[in-house]
Amino acid sequence: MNHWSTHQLTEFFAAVCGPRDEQAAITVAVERAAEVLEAEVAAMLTGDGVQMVRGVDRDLLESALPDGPSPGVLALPGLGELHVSVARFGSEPRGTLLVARVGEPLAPEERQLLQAMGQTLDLALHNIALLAAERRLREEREREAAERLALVASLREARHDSLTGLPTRVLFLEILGAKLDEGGPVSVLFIDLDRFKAVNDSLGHRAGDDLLGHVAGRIRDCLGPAGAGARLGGDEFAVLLGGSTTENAVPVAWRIIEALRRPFRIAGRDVFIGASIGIATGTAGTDPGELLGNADVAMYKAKKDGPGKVILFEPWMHAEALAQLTLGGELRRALELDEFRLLYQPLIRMETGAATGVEALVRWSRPGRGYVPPADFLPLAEENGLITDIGRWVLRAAGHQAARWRRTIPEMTLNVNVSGRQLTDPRFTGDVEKTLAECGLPAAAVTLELTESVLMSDPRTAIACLGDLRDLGVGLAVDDFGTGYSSLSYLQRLPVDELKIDRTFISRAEPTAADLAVIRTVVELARTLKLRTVVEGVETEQQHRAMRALGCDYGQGYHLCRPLEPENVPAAFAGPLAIHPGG
Amino acid sequence: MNRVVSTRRDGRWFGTGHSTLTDPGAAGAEAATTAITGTDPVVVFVFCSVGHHTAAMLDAVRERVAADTVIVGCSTSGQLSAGATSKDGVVVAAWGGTGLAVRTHVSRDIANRLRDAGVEAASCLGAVDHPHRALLMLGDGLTGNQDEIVRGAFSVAGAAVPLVGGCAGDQLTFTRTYQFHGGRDGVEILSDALVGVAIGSDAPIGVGIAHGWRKTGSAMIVTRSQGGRVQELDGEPALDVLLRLLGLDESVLDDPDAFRQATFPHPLGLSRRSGEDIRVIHDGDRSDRSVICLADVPEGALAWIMETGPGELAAAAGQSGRQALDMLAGSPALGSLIFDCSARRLTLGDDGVERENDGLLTAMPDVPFAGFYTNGEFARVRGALGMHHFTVVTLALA
Repeated sequence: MNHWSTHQLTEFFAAVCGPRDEQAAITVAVERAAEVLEAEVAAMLTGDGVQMVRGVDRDLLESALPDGPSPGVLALPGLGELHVSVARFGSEPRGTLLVARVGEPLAPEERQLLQAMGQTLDLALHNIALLAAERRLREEREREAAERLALVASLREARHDSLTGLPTRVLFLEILGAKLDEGGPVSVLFIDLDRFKAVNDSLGHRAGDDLLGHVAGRIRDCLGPAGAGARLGGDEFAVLLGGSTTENAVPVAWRIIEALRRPFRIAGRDVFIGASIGIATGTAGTDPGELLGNADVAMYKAKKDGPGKVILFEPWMHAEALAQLTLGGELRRALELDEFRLLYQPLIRMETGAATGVEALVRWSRPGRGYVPPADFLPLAEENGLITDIGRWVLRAAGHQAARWRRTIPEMTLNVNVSGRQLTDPRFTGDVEKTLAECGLPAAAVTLELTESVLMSDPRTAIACLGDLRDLGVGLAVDDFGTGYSSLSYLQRLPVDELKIDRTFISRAEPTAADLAVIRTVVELARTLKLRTVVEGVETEQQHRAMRALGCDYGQGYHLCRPLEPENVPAAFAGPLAIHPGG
Repeated sequence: MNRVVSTRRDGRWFGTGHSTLTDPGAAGAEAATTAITGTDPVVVFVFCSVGHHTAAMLDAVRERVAADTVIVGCSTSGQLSAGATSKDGVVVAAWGGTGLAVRTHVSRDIANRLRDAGVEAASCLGAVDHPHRALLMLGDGLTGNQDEIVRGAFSVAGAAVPLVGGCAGDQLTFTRTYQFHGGRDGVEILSDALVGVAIGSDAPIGVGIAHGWRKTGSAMIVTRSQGGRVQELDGEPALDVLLRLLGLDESVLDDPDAFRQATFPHPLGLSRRSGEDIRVIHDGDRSDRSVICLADVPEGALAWIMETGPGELAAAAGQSGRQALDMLAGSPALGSLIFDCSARRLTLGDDGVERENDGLLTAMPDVPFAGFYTNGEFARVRGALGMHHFTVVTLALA
């Protein structure tokens, strides 16, 4: 017949081997020893004292065992006399399991059970230590493996772009150097994406990243076996064509431009971008960095002439690029040095010949260097972001001026040009509101002009931004209408009031029937959409008459009135033609 | 037989009240009015059936207590007091006077942290420093391995403080039980909680426990189990073993009541030094052929199917009462609380319950007592084990 105590050892063993850490195993062992042996007190002790105790306070037990654990009788407050049994376990020994029971001392079988419990605990602690060591070792190995993996990945990353899988600038220059060393011509295409920033700003960085991945794929598809692509950073890519002269490289460049012009399906919608490419060719002995730099300069020129152009590098481009750099630096200081001024071109009511408003035109005069044409500095300002500051200055200066004029010419309106950067600047609407309030100019007296290309590059964003401006009460005009590609469906949804028909439509001194047919169509379209029309570039009397006959509402141009210095503006409104029929 | 409902001695008093009125508020008022015989109740225990556990019932109790009276209690699977039992109703036990103190702590959201709950519930012991102390616990009866509650409480209380109490019931529907805690200004009705009540007294406190079961047949080893779910006995699916040993047909599983009627008279007994730890088998699971006990059945344990005779089971109540009184060191008992397993009541039947009550009245003459039918009993006087099933536990105050 088995004694009850041996039954309990199996239970004890199962319980003590469960925990994964030492302290938990010791706690279970002490608790179960007390339960099984019906002891009021149980403890585990080591050379350092009581590690775990149940039934009494640790301090009380330690002070009751001045000579360490040993069998005998123990008196504890509240419990009276207890019979103590101990089981040392482990070789050093590792520790002692102690139980103290009121009433009866442990029977021999119970002492044997306690000893077995001690040995079980020893085994459990030994296993936990082994497992812990193994776990530590495994974790260490896993950590090392992860570190190695990270190192390999980082090395790869330095030479390969993680987004597109293409070589980086570092690797590209190495490959280029090797190709040049092989002799024979090597052409480098420097590719810069057009309108990428607009996609990134409107659809978010994730969509931008997605787009770059697709762009890389299309560039790869355009290359033969001797071609290699790279991503240089941002929206700049490069391609090298081994054994290729400049002439051979040009068709490849156009192929890439065509490929990138096709719509990309990003974030559930079609996205249109483009690319400008500069090409430079070198032979053995050419420095790879310099070759890439030359292609970059050519790309810069392509961008300036473009977008969507391919330009071959010419040495003089360096000088021009340098001049541009210098100009950029001076442009930065121009605002501080108060070098900008405004001219005002009246808008003439075609029906009456009366001036009804003015368009503010910014001009830059560099002291000692003379007048800089707007076409030279405005694209530069757009590119380097200064346009936002310049635009803000224009609105404030023209606003104050117009407010002064309106004291005597109350019906005078003001048109101000707004760049794409300004439009997408989240603070823009607030700036406009604040500026108009400062000037004391009613919003209804102001029309903001945005070029067709700005509006159509990202019509959804444009519609959203224009909505905010419209809520302010300012008028909105599509500038240079007809130069870009307008989606009629978007045109209908843009909250604009005015179409400014680009001067190219009436470039001939005497408009042909075809010219007139096109303009008539635009005027009718505007009328259908209930938009005012302003025809730009009216330079001859024939043009003036033709436009009036077609029903254009307003005109601008040298024939009607040249851009005026501010001091001459009131006079233009006071002339015989300036009597507004209703005014 | 003289059925005492209250006592008063040496400036202390103990009273019980029992109402089976169907209106909870009226039942609370009736039971509380009978029980609260002094002006200064220290603590009022409220045990009631699910349905009577309403704010109106507790309001009726609150109206009759002092500003610093503690009100605690729980829902039950039946109430008992002064020799009478009820299925639906309210039992109130109150005590007060000199040399008595009570402090409480409620541990909430205990289901997955029973050991911590036990530690927390026992934390109120530090606030009483009378020469005689006990920790009474009233817990949710549906929270898994309640041995862990006792281990947690014992780690704080130590061996010098007896543990006593019971787990709330819900008429054996095992759906939801309620615990009460508060005072004159309001009483919370909680679930998934453990209420710790530290009792301090200048006079001795006694705790008794008995079950009245004996082993039958051969011993079996619990070869696979997890918590209270026993998957295998001697390597065979536990449900198959149980059905065979009890001569039951598989169809008994179709009706949970019929299953309990058959299994409650035959709980599992786990081999222990001074007898057996009883585990009520309250369900069987066809999907994995396991049987489900209300408390932990450790893997590796040696177990027997237990049996009892009607006399032995009923007599256990009297034994429990006598043990508790014996611990009062010769002082007469002021009153006592009874925590009686609900499965015992079902097994005993009406006749057995009457014999059980007679046993209590005989064992504790002139001692008012009240209590409830539990989902597990707390009792630790000796050793470290303190969670029991199928037992009757008595707390006696001198």
